[in-house]
Amino acid sequence: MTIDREMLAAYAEGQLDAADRARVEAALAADPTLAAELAAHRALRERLRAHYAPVAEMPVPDRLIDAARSPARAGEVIDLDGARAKRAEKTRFSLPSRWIAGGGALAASLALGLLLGSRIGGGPVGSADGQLVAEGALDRALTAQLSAAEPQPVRILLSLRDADGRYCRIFETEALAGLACREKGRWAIERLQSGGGQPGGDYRQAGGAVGEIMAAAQALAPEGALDQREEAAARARNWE
Amino acid sequence: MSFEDGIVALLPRLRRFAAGLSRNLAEGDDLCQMTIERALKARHQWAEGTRLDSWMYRIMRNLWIDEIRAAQRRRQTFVEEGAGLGVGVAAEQEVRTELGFVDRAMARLPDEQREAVLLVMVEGYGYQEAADIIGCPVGTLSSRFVRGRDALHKLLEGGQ
Repeated sequence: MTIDREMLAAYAEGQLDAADRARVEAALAADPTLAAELAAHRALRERLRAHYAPVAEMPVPDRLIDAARSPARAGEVIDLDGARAKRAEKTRFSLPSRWIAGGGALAASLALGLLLGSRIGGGPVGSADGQLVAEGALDRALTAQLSAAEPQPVRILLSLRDADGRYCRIFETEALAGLACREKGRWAIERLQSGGGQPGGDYRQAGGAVGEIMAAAQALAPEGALDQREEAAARARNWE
Repeated sequence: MSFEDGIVALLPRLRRFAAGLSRNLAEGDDLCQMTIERALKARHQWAEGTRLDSWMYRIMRNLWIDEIRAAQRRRQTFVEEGAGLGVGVAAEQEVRTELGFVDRAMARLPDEQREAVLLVMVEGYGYQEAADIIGCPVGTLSSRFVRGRDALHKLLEGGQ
């Protein structure tokens, strides 16, 4: 008798009853072509399993475990288009970085002091252990403010957690954009660039200085920015 | 085991199925999260003593059909063919190439053949269970599965 493709596949997948199984096995013994088809079926199955196996072996992201155990913390994926747009937002900035200062350069720290001093007032940048740190109004804003779109003397654009577990925040003033990371109870200024947002403009879209800081932030935290809830929780723990 | 623990225990497998359906790990995780949310809201519909896994797979599969396929059509022009899972990619170029071939071949299957192949070959479900998850007769599942399998053979033969 002939064994059709569906019956052979069902045999390979263990879906036949004893009588059909015996018929297929008899045919397999007599027909090398059929046996080769069976081998090809099994090889394909192995190949597919091996292909998808890594997904099941990777650690499950926390957000999925949260979604099951504490949905309030996980937030909600309303629809995939929205989720996709959010991901795109987080990875949108890919401009090359042109940092004015990354710490260490005397000339740069002088320039910083001048720029910040003239714009924010109250001596916003000091130094501790050879590292530029936020003081005054900038320090207070980094510690107390949540990310918001409202115009303020110092705006916090977003917060993130870097690979070392430090909380970092992107801030912007009328003239500057920068990145500060929490270290030993202080805000270390890691990045600073002149040319912040346009007053009253949409700084998130403005590109330029903010875009470049965002690009650096993206490199620091591939998973993206903290959401509002995570940010509030981090503030409650004083960013430690 | 609580309902929530049951879901958490299933997450690695659910992620695998989601990645297979959406052919993209990040999008698969979004699908996974939606599935969890839907399952928690509908938990009273799950009959204790029945299989939680098939029930969750069915929710995921239906979400995928309802929402994502439409969304994918809308943005088809932006998607590179078979962007791939990009998971577990070792440094070896051969591994990279291998992933690419399977991803591309799977991407070219009609949706109903892809889900049948995934459920039977990757997820290891029997025909009856797979048909129940999809909501189709067993005969239909069987023929979709075999057509999908044959198409994959053909697609993978050429590129290896």
